[in-house]
Amino acid sequence: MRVLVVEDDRAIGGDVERGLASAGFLVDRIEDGEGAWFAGDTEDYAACVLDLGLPGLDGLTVLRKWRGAGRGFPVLILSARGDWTEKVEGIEAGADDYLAKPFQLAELIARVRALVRRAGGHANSRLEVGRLVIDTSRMRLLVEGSEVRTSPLEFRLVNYLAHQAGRAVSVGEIGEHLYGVDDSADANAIEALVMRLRRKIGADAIETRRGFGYLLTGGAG
Amino acid sequence: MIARSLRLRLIAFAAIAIAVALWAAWHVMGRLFDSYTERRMAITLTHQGNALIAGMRIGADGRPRVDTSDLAARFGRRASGLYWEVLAPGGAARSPSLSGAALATHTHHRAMTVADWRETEIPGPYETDLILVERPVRIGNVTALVRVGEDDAPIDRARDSFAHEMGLFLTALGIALALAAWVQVELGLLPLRKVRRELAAMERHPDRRLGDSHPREIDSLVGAINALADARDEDLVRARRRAADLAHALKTPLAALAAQSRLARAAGAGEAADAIDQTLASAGAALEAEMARARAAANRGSPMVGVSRPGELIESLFAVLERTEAGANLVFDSDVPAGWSLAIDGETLAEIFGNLLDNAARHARRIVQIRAASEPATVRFDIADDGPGIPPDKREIVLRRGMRLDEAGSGHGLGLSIVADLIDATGGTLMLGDAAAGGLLATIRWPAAILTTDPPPAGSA
Repeated sequence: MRVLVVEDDRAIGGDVERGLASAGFLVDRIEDGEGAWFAGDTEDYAACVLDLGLPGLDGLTVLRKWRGAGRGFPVLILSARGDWTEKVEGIEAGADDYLAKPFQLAELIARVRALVRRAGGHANSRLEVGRLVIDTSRMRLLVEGSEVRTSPLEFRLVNYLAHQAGRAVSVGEIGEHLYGVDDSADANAIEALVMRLRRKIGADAIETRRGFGYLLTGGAG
Repeated sequence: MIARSLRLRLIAFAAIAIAVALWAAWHVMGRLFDSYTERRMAITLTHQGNALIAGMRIGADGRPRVDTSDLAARFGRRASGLYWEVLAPGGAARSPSLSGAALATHTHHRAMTVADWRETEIPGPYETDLILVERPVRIGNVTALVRVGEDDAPIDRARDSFAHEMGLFLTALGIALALAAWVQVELGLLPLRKVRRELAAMERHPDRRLGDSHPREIDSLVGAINALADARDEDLVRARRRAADLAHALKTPLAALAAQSRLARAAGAGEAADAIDQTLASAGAALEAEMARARAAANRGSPMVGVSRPGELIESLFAVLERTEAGANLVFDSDVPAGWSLAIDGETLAEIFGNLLDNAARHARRIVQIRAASEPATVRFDIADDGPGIPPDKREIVLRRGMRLDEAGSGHGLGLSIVADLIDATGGTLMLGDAAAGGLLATIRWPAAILTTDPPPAGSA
């Protein structure tokens, strides 16, 4: 599995490369923004570790260029600043995770593994419900053809409901699927989750069946 | 007090100037009235004197004789206030009104030559002063001095009454002028009041500037204030950037050092590597904390740069937290209205909410909720989780400088005490309590003045 590491500091870059290599990844290491942009655009990677402070093109610009060109591999951002504004900018530019320097190498490896698993571990399926399209291979949700950003939990909920094929699902069953337990204390959280999801995909896309639970209709498709 | 108030100073100077001018006018007009009436009286007396001279001759004994038939009847009544006297070397003649008394003489009679009438004032025979006209007259070879006088008491009375009425009129005029001056000062100072209002708005909304519709006279002042505000904004932005650069400059070598420590560990120097790692962790945490404190200090005492929309910001922070290990399985819920803006700059607000939400996410079981409320004097944000919470006796400790309860959660998130510092620097307060769901409730309150709300979009309920 190939991973791209973009880091201009040789000591850190070398350290990350050795760590990922010993975890079983095949690592390409690049030290400048221009080179990273080219590599990410032309090669297929399972994941990328991207430093933000790069000579030439900065990391955020490189990331935006990749995402603009439709390059969807998961990206873990490394940054020295570590402030929330930068984290928000990174996620909004299309990053999947964020790690502030100084970091523990073990944590970085665990995060890269999680990213790769999340991106590649799903059955390649595409479900259509009403005006919704659920793309499980890339964990994407489309409403009338345009992508809507969801949290992992929101995606799991809509994916589960979509697989119940027209059946209303009780709060207890949703809790068991999401959290592994059916606990009435989770009802509030599940209700809030459904509300948030409705705000993103339309209030009519999830109906409440009194006494039965929630039914995904996808709205008028 | 007058030295500090433009209004009082202008009004006081105007009042003094008006009072002095009117007082001088009152005096000068009294004098003019006096001299005018005296001159009128002297002319009348001259006519009487000319009539006297016409009917005057010198008798054989050298005494003057006067034909009184053409003279005013008052000369004939005793102490009537109208008198005449003719003095010749051979004797004198006097009006019956004098009852034989003589008019007071003055020393330079002998020096007088034949000329026109001369006007003077002398003490009268009956205790009041007289206006007197006199002239020498030559009849044959005798020179006689002809004098006609009249009591000036009526003039004094007329002048007193004139002065009284004039005084009343001038006082009324003075009051009217003072009122006009006050109105003028108020109107003149209106633009300054506008500047004061705009400055107050600038304090609450630092992105605002003074308008350009001010009078020319204070244009340069307005320009200077705006330039100062711009410069301060730039300074603040530069200071932040410098702090961020410093962090970058220090954190990268720290990360490099961490790499060296791993090499050392791989080479068998495990104990040394442990020590280095420990030092690195505390150095990194200290660096992060001091950065946050520097930011708080930069904010403190200076109005905030910029305005942020907390509704959007919180959703963006949710998107970050949903990607963290702790946040991936949590529901993040916010009811902050989309139309709200706060007069706090975006980076500071991101640190405040980011760290509080991060803290809540690391302890929550299922859900992190943020609730906003606009109260009469404050705007309130409640950040609640359904985790274990913090016991009441420990809450004060976590808000104390340099304290954090979970030393394990390094790297991410600042201590609550630093968040409290940041909130304090933006004019707010942070309080910890119990959430309804059992976890920690962090309540932020800011003064209501920093909140502005957009009208809801058309068509919304």
